[in-house]
Amino acid sequence: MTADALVSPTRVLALLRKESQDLLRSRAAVLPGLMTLLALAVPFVIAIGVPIITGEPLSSDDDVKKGLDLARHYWPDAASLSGEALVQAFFFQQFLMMVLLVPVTGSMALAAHSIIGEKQARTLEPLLATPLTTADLLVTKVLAALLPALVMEAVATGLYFAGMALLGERGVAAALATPRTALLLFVLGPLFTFIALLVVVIASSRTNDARGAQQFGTFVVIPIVAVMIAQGTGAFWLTVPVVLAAAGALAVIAVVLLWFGVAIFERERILTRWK
Amino acid sequence: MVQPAAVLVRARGLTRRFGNRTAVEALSLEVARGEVVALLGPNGAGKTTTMRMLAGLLAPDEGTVEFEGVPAGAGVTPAMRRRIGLLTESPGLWDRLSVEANLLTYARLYELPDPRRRVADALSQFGLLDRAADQAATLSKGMKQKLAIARTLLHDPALVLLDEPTAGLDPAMARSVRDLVRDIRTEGRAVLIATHNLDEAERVADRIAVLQGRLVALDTAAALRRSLFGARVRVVLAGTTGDGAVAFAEAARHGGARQVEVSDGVLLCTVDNADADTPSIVASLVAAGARVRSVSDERVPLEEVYLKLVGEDPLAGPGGAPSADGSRHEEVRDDR
Repeated sequence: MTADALVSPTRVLALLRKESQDLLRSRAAVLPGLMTLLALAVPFVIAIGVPIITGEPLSSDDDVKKGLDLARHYWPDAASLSGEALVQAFFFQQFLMMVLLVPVTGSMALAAHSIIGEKQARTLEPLLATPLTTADLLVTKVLAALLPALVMEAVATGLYFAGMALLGERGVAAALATPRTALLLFVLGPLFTFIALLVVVIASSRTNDARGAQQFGTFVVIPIVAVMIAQGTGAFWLTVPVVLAAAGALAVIAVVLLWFGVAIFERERILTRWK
Repeated sequence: MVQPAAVLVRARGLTRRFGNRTAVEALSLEVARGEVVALLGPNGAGKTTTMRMLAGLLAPDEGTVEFEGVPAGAGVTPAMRRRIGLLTESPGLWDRLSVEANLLTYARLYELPDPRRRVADALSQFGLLDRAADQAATLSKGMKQKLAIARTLLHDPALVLLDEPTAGLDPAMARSVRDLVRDIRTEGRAVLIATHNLDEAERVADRIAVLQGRLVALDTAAALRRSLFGARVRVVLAGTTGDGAVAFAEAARHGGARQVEVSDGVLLCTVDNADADTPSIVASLVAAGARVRSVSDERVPLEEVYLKLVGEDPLAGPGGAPSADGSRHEEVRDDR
């Protein structure tokens, strides 16, 4: 008998394939995608639609002016933009966080159902009778929710930039295509998503109510909303060093959370108490 | 007694509590390679808990499990689980996945070499090839159970734990499952089968374990009968009806019967040794003028054995439950 690794790529991949097949056959899987598309329309309506409808440029608003001053200070790429182009760049910059946020919230339903769903379908017991470790199970369940979220995030990013290039003022899309944006989308976003989903999966392993598990994820979303608001009001700006520091902190939190999730996962309680 | 070298799994003093309730108490059990042991017991007797402890899903509060000679410590390890196949009470299939995908996932979880080939073999063996692409949800109950059994055996486990494998199956399907269990035994694997179906237990099991929180009895069906009811010989008399047979009861006792029950021309004789006592009973009856039409061994239904062991009236409440010292049950020792 050989010793089993804490996390086996083979086992994780095996279960991940099952999860993806299961997801593709589920009609509910379309919903997060639709939510993302709808959410993406919001910044376009505000930055481009509102000035057209009201006939007043957004740059005349005092709060926006305050934000623009901050943007000019921290964001040299946008400083050369003028008038409405800078406003649009500012707004699209603010809503960039939403490109991170919406797929996460969409995937939370998947994560919330992960362990609970297996238990309710009575598929968990035979699964736990295999050499699958608790870490295998948790990692797979998080990845099963994370990967669709990342795909949605990538598609949303593509659509977002295509929309800015097509509908926005000249130079807006180019101003946003910065290393900071790349860090936000490809490092901070996935890390944050991983943590949020891990929290929900851990909650899913501790409760037999999917809605309850999902609520835990909402708590994780609060900091990102706070950053959005802080940036919007000019109180705070996510610079590259801040993003890098946050990414480092999130990576540590992710590892600690995974360890914690494994430590508090009670196979026996799930098998014997949940109905 | 099972030969030590042949023992595949050995449980010693397994105890498992859930809060204040003791589900399994001081259970000691061995299952050898090439042996089928049936686990019988009323609802809540601890059969599933025992299965789960042996499968490594539950850790015992007390006692040890030794698997292939290796102590499992606080519980069966993931490495040991590679050598164990568990059929759970419910098939536990992923309904939205195809029959093939259900098996393929498990083949990969067990990290089997050439999983597709292994799955194709299993589909063929269980007659599921033509349903391979169908969603598991579309299968009949029997087919689902078949698929679950195929999944249980996919990784060639040395110990096969089957929890109610024929529950809800039609007779033909149940029979094919029993045939399968015999095949598994022939392959030299150890099988522990939890069932409420006494006939099934008798048909497939080498030994029967009766559980009611603690192990009430463990032996072959024949030995259990012998221990509880002794050997019984049924003598049918010709031309003797009603009380006419009563007159010959004394002759049967004279011939060696310890006890004789009489009913409508039939003598049911309890004997110490059927081989030695039957000829003398027949001779005594013939000498007394009885016309013996047939003589056969009386086989007490396993149901009677079982009910005697667990308490005859399951609706009578905890009367059948074991007392703290287990003294209300007859302990039947394993004398193999």
